[in-house]
Amino acid sequence: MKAVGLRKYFPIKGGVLGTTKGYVYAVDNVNITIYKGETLGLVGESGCGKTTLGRVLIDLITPTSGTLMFNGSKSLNNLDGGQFEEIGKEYSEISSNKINEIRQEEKKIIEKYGIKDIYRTKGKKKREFRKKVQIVFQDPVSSLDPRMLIKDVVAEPLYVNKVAKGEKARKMVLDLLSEIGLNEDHLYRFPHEFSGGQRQRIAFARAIITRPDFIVLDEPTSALDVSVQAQILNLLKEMQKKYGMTYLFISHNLAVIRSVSDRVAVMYLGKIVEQAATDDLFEFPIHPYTQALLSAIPIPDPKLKRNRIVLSGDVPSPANPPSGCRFHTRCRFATQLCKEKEPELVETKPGHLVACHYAEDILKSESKLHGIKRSTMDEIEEIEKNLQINNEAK
Amino acid sequence: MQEISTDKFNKEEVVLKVSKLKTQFFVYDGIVKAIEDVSLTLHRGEVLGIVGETGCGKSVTAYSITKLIPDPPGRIVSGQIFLGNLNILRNIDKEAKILTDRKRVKIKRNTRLIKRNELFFNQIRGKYISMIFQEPMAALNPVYTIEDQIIETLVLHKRSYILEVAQGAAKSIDKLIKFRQTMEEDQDINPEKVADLREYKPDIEKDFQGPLKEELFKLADSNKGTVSFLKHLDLLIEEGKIYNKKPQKYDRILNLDRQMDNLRVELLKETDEMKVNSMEKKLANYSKKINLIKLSKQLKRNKKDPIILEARRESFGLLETVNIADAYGILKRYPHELSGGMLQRVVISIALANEPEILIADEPTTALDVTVQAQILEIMRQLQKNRGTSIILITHDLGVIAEMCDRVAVMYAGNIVEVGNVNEVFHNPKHPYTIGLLSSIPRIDNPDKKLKSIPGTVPNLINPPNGCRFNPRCPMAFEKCRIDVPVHIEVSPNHVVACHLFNGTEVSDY
Repeated sequence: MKAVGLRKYFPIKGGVLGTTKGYVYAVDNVNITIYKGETLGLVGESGCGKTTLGRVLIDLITPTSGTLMFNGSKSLNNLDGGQFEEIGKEYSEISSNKINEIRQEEKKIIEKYGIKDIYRTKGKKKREFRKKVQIVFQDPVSSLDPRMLIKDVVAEPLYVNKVAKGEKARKMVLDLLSEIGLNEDHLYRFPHEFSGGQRQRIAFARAIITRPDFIVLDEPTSALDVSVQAQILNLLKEMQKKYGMTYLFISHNLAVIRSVSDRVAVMYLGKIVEQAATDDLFEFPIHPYTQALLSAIPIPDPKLKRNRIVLSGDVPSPANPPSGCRFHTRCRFATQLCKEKEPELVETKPGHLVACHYAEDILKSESKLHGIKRSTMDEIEEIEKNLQINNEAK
Repeated sequence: MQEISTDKFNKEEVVLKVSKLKTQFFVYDGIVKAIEDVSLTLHRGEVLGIVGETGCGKSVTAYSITKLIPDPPGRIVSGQIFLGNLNILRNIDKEAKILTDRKRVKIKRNTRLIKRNELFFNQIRGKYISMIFQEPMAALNPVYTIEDQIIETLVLHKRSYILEVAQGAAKSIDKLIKFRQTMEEDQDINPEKVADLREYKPDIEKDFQGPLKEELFKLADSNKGTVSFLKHLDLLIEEGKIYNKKPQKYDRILNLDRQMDNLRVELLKETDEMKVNSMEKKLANYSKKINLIKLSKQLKRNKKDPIILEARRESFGLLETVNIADAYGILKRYPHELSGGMLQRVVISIALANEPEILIADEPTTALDVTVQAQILEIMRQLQKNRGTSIILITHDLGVIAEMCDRVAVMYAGNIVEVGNVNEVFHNPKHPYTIGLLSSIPRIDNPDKKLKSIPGTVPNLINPPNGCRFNPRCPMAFEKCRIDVPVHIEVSPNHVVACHLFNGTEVSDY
């Protein structure tokens, strides 16, 4: 999957006539590529646009502009995002006229290269796409219809996509439920009879019953307790291995992101500021925001003492983002250049994209990096083993 | 390794002691046994963490200590909570009688006693013990400005100090005006020179005395810039002028407040039951006199009052200590105008307004982003270091516990299952639940770790399992676990576990 030049601006309506007063820059000119079978982690603080990006990628929200190519598109490989990125770059403020201009320019490029853009398809082809992408929402309480039985909840995608019905559908549901740790008794119950972890399992079952290629997991474990979170994470990993699905894992919990993803993208105010392979990003973060973010996570080990970068202030409002680099208001290294010019996402190291004017300099002074090294220590496991042995001896 | 953190606080001095606390909720379906036998000890200057899953009774413990359990449906059934020498649950069994007749449970309340206890406890809550709530938006009243809400606690508990400062300002008003003039001139001549406000300390030492001097020192030390200092001085001068108009009236109020302050201090030390009762009555009557509705009306109309002006100045200073930018502007705002991090700072500043000895923080950072969480934890750490406050930190985030706490208590289904030094509990956990909890969290520094989940879910507390409440989920459960409730056993010094797997001496203080 490849998405280029994605933008989503939510208009702010106001006044008596409901005229548009401004725009919330939720996702602003984002290029993202997700490879088959991988898990891409998407992190960022609340309000940075990660959920919006996830929903735009499966066309749950129609973007203001942008192009999305899903597997099978021939032109996927020989196209780089450059041309799309250039469009509309000179505009600092957006109005409805400018949005139209951006769209028209985009259309020209699409026609020139003969790209199959998902956002511009209709009817049968769109339905085909919908079958292949799915989403699991954050809150398992509100994402399941309280008046539907579990068998209907899970089977609904089958009916909608006309995959199966009747006895066949029932059998598929039953097979899947037993796979994810529920049984036949649960078929005729309502969502409120389940615990949070079970509900999230059901939501996940509903997402994977049509065997989609791509699933957006929008903070699937943030409403759950740690012991249940571990169950769900293990289930997600297991299912991915089994069916070869591709995940976009959205979360603000960096520990979870590190344990599930292959690559990680860090978002700040509607922009991707850093993108790299998981270990590379966590051990050698380059963007000052990523460094601060990593140093802010409390690690559950009282012996560990770390240097901490404490950012001042809050995330600025996405309706009125700072000029130039959006992070310059809170950045340690900010200079005049950062205020004026917006940095581009460039490859600083192989496979490591950073959007910062001083990425090279930061990389050179490697001693100052605030990464988290891998450790293989696992005392807890040993203690558990000893306890087990003692208990058996008793 | 484990000795380091014990040195930080004085082991002898116990500020809060909870023993055999039992809180239940009487609902339609039955009795929810939310807390069954919780004992805790909090030493001076210590940070005690409480961890556990949702519904394990962490918050109920906190609410029980501050007597904020909503009644009905909840009631503290039995137990003792000592603040110093005072048992705040002294007549809890007289407050209500619980009658069980066949299946129904009836509660007969002694309303007069409950009301009196409540009025008395208003004097303690917020002064000696205060609380930071999880949801800052819900903890603040949306229809009052930030200023009103901070002033409320200050006026309730800190009146004598406030009036003393105002009195000081009134007495040395000429010197204050002169001091302000020299400061302003200094800034005009050489803006660089006044960057360090500590240079003014000798001048303050020479000219002022008493609480006023303390306040000015505090301002000079905090070093928040000349603009803020001048603003403080303006307010001080204004309140001094008003005080001077009716000095006798305010002196009289000050005397009364001082008496009450002495009474409160005595109360925490007194052990004689009869005397405690009469003191409680007196304080309860006094608390009746301060009418909150009247107070807020006073805020709106009669702003020319030295108490209110000084309280406003203090709240301005408080907001500065929690690093809010443009603190004076924020005072006039309403809660919905601020972001989550800012609101949590306001809540913290309210909790710390009276410099309490005990601070209970109930999931203070759960609703916040990681970068903001780091800021808030930093503020709490600073305050704890500077003032020596004892903190009970309730959270489900083990990372926060590891970073902030000296000791940690692990709770499961209304019981404390393990208490100990943070290093001990994290690196040498004993209870199977603690082990399960620690091995189920994804570690950012160890991503390849296989996550082990604890099977099953937290039990329903209306019908909790017999014996050890963890036995249905415990991988090591055996016959005895299903029958007997485990007692608390000291496995090593300062490390207490409630589990049948271990042998050791039984302890009741931990």
